[in-house]
Amino acid sequence: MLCDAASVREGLLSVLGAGITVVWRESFPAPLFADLAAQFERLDVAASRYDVSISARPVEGGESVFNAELQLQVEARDDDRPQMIPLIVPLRDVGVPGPGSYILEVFVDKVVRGSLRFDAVLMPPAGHEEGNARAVSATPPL
Amino acid sequence: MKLPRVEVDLNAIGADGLLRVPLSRVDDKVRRGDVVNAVETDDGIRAWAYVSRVDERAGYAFLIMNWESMRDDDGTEALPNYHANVSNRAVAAIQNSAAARSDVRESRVSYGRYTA
Repeated sequence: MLCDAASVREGLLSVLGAGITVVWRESFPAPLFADLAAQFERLDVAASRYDVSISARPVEGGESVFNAELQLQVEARDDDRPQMIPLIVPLRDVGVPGPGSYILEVFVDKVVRGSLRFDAVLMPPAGHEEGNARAVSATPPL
Repeated sequence: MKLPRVEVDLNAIGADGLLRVPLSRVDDKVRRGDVVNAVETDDGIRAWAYVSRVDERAGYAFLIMNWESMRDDDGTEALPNYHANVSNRAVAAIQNSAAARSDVRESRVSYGRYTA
């Protein structure tokens, strides 16, 4: 999920302001100003390293608009208890080139383990009949 | 938040609308998808820009400028008017019909339409 902020403490994922599906901006290109928080189940307890990659692309197709790669090191375990691996990918300083619908996919060891869609939307200009600039900024129309 | 700072020449726009910048003028490693602070020191202005392409071999990055974000460069790295320019929202419309029909010890549990 896209969120305002996230952290991991002792394997627990703490998330603030999760569930972002729309990013309103006054102009484009624009930064995303969000983080990705995710959890995936560790299916192979013998594995100690996971290659994770993130890719966002327009829903209608085309080249990805941003990518991220990271490697997760996980402690080896010799029991079969379920394990959830938390994951945070800072996406504050990446952006989208223009308004539209985008799909963000999470790959773990090159296998898609999750995806989400978000829309980047241009805010109505100041003085728009639905409200003045400040009102529009504070409460974008849904 | 600190965005990479890129010294640009606003006259270096190609026919494709992309602004070409030597990688030597980028104060951090950038790649496609990054948002940077594009600064033109001579005119004392800056704007957000999106890195559309990086050609390591040629030594150039190609930027899509956000012209509407252009403003005076006050030397700080933070994005100007952060709160005025940014609004991330969740949009949901939930009708929990199953819960609305539930009886809990003779108390009706009712969920209305929730919009966030």
